[in-house]
Amino acid sequence: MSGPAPAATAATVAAFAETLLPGDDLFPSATQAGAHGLLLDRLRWRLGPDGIDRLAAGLGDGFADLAPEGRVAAVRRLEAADPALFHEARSILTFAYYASLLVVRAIRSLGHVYNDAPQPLGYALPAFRAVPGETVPTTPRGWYKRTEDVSRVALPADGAAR
Amino acid sequence: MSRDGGHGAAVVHPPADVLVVGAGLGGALASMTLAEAGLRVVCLEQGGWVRPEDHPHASPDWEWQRSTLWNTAPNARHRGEDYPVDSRDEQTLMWNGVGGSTVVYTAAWPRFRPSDFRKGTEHGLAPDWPITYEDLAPWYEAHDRIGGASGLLGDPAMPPREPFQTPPIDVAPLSRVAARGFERLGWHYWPFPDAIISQPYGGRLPCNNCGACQSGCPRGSIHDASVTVWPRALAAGADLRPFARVHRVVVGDDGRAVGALYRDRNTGATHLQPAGTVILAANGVGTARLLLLSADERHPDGLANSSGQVGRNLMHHGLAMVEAWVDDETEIHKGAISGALICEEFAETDPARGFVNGFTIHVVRMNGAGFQANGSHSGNVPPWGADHHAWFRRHFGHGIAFLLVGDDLPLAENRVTLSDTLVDGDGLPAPRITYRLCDNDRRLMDFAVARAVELAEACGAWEVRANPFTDAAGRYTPPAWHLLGTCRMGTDPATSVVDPALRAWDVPNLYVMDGSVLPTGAAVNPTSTIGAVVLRAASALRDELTAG
Repeated sequence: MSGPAPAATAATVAAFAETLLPGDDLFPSATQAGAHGLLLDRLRWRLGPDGIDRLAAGLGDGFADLAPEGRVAAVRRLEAADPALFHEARSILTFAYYASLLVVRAIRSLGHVYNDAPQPLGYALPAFRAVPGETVPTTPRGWYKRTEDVSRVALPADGAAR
Repeated sequence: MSRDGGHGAAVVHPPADVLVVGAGLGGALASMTLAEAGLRVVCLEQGGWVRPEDHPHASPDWEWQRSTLWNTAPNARHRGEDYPVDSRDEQTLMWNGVGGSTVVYTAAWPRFRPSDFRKGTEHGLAPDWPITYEDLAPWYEAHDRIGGASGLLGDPAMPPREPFQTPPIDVAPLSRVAARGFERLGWHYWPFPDAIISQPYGGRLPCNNCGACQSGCPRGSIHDASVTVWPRALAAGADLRPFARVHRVVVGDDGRAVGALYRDRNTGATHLQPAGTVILAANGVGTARLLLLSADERHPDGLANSSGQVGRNLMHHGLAMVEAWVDDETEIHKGAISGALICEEFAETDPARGFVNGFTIHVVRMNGAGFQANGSHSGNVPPWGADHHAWFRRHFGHGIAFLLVGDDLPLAENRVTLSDTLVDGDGLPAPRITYRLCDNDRRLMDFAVARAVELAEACGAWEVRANPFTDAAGRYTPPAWHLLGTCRMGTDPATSVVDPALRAWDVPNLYVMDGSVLPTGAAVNPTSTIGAVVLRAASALRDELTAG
């Protein structure tokens, strides 16, 4: 086997996830939500088996052992040096994080009606009513040019050049 | 079936009256119309069926699936039925399977305006259609009855029409916030027409506002041709063959289409399906590609291409997104993606603006928390790290999004050709797409973005982000939802590919029935118009084939 030990890579990925999405008094952190595991799987799916090694290498040896400010600096260096890889990893992590049941519960705690998934429940919304100023204009607006009224317009001054 | 040495080891099927290539909306409507008249119809489709339970809507990772296996871009999706698209200019969107791209669209259902059919008369930078709005109006109505449309009568910005099948789909606070901006500016707005039913219709369930239209609709509330059209076509006896990838249209010595050679993607066997009439309905990219793939010694530049117009005049619409965030709760993750309001204030040409043609503003939605935390439509990506959750608390549920749809001019150099580097799973050259906005269209979109920013401010926005779909180098690289114009209809064989009946000028029994026949694209989503155009032509073909 070559390259860093799997356990070290796992620690790096977990630390990366924690750095991007730490928890607070309501939201769980990325690892608490389980998102780092999906990051491992999906980065492999998107970039191949070397994808996770690229991420770990970009963060540098000993990333997981760094103090929080050191991790932030390392992530910023990766973001600047390999923006495509960083974007891919962050996107995957974000989708995984916000699909977590615990994060969904946090969103609900903010007062939003937010389902685990779009179906089967969907969302209850009020049935349509024509309310002036809210769903239809307060005064009639809009017009269209009838077929028989279409005639040549003067092209813009610079000829509407293509 | 038999073997035909003239076509390699092809399995030769009994001839059909009509062969349809592509089971999307155009192919479905044509197959239904012709099969219901008793004609023997065979339809070849390179993809398969999508079952309700296949959609990702019931899975917590639906947003991840939407960005991967359910991505609307085949280049991001990589399904076996897909072919790659060779382009640096755009992200072509399509679905290859029964129902075509109606499987994964928002079912936005505005109609073209009467002037959209008369751009040649109006400014001459695009052709007139060979038909008028009035010619098409009854077919718009017929199409709506098939798919079920929701909306509100009385829009002063559009010609009168017959009643919608259902009322507008449910409204949310989003519409109220947007209406506030429109009212302050005095601009037109109206409830968005959709091919999404708000009440039961045709045995189908109404929309329950789940907010995930772009991954299709497992409830069947959206006018997805696999749900609304194919059951009728199959009941009438149409022979739909999924996983059948057409390689070329075969033409006889008399210049008439003989049928099509296709490969069964399950068995690998090559088949020849003869037919008296052939209809291509493989979308505005796929149909042009297939005609180019059908080149032979007699048609070295591709079939039906004596005009040189096959693949040219590609239109996608000029597109941009402007997103804003307001203090109001907008609940923007709920409801049909394109189910709020439409503004047609700027839809007609006003040369004083410095460009011809117009645009519409669509008040649309932002999907779920994952999409919004990944930048939504505008690329407003939240910070990572300690500030992330504060950003999310402030933004989530407070967004409002404006999609700007501009009428792009048909340019000969915007075109589909064959790639010399990419091939599909059968080794066939992929389509290569070249597309740019001309100066007129850039001015139009710049004006549109400025108006949307103005609208956002009138709505009370505290943050506004515009996405003009340009890359880091400033090149316009839009998501290409609408694939139009590449086999346009006209009255002159020198400048068009098909005649007003959608019959190829060069091949008397070959028709094109999809978005590629549209001479202009208007400033709205094209699917209602594509269906109307196809129904009109398929009905005329039916009458011709069944006469006497």
